Amino acid sequence: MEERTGAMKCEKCNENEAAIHFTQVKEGKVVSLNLCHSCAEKYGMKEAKFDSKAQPAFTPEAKSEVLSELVDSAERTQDEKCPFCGSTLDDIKSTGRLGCAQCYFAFESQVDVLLRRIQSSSFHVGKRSVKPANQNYNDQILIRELKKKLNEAVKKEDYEKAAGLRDEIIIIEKRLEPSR
Amino acid sequence: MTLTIKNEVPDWMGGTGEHADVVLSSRVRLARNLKGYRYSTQIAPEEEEQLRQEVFGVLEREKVLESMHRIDIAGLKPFECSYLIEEHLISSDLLNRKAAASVVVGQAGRVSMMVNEEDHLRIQSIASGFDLEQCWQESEKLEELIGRNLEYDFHAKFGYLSSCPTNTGTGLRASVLIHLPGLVLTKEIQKVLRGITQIGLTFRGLYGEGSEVLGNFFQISNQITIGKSEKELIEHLARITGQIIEHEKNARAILFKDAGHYIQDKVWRAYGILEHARTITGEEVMNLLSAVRLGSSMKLIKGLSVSTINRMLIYSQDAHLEVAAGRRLDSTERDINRATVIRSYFNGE
Repeated sequence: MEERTGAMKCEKCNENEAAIHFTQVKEGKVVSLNLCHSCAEKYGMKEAKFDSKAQPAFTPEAKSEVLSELVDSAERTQDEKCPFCGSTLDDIKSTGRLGCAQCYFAFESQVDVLLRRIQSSSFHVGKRSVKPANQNYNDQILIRELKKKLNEAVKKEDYEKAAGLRDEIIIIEKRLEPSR
Repeated sequence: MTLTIKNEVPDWMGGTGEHADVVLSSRVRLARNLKGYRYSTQIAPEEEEQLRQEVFGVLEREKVLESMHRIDIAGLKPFECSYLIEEHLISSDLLNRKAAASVVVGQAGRVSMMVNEEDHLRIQSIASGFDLEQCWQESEKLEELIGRNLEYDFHAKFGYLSSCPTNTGTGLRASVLIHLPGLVLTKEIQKVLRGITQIGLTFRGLYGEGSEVLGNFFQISNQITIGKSEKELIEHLARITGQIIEHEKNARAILFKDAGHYIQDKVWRAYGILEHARTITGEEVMNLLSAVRLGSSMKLIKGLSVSTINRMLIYSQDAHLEVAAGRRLDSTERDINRATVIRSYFNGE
């Protein structure tokens, strides 16, 4: 990754100095978005404190705009389509909506990034569906995947990510216990 | 189709429940989608119809329709649709999907469910006053009843899947409709609103997303739907709402101590206009009712209860006037009818 030296220009207006930097580490790659105050405000982040720890607070009308921005900045595979409804990332970007449940699986990594960004988490900890049969995923499969990702994160020395994954695994293991 | 619910005063306007002088109503809604159907941006009309039949088949079998009744949007006049929006039973979004869109309503509006909205199902419960727990239980009950019969789209990691990722996870939006004249008058409100947006909550006007804040009525709700359990989300909103109520009550006390004459004057002038006006706009009514509501909750005004004022607030809305008249009204007619409706509450007490 390039080092940030001197004044960085806002990626939206290309005029003002970028004051707000979003950074997302995803599978070892850095996806970033750098905005000036006035462009950030357009995305509804005016109420948030401008320090690195504060979560940006989105106004409802800013949401869909942010969504399309994010789909843009996520890694994208051209021409990839949802096998069930045929939605492409462009469709999702233009409506801010997913076309069906399978979109969540077809574009899983992009959705993951998106959820983390707009909701600070992509990990549901609430109520489980009362009819869990026939799920495309079950908890065992999920744990196996998360452990794989955990090993990768450790290899890359991305300990922040590894800690997050470890917490998720603990939650799922707890969830599995009573049914054992 | 006629609106069979029009004579039923919604339960949530009752002015009962905890802190009803500050919190008008509490609400919980759950977004759910059914397995095998595409979402609103992709779904075909015949699929929507099939989905609706499947859902109503379950409601019939489970005898839910004995206590709830079905309203199909396609059979309604535009002002009847607006009436349902004013009653908080449907969203304006549902109207865009007219053909196979329906709502079922039960227990005097306490429980309802939209079918074929942005998500296949939007289950909702509203209670009078500050009672999110009750709303959660009511909505969960209907959610589970349907969930035993039909399979919801659920992802092991992301949770309940939703058309818009801002609802994914729990699909839960909990909100309180709260009256904050004290904080507005003491100019503390900006601080409070800024504060809540920094802790995962958001605010809107009386009628949801994009609606204006009128009459010092605010809807405060959770912004985040994933990463926290339903219980945590609701408890968080309840805790913060409790603090806001406290702030509001302090602000009211300070106002009466430091500017008693000013407040009394404001309240009684509002009372006078409402009692005597012959034509009045919706916006003016909202602002005056806000003042009178403050007066009533501070025991300045004895004749009008908070519950009566809640009713005035809703029955003076445009579509409520039109449903009462049985036809569409132009804006002059509406303002005249509005003044008449408002005056009738004074004669009645």
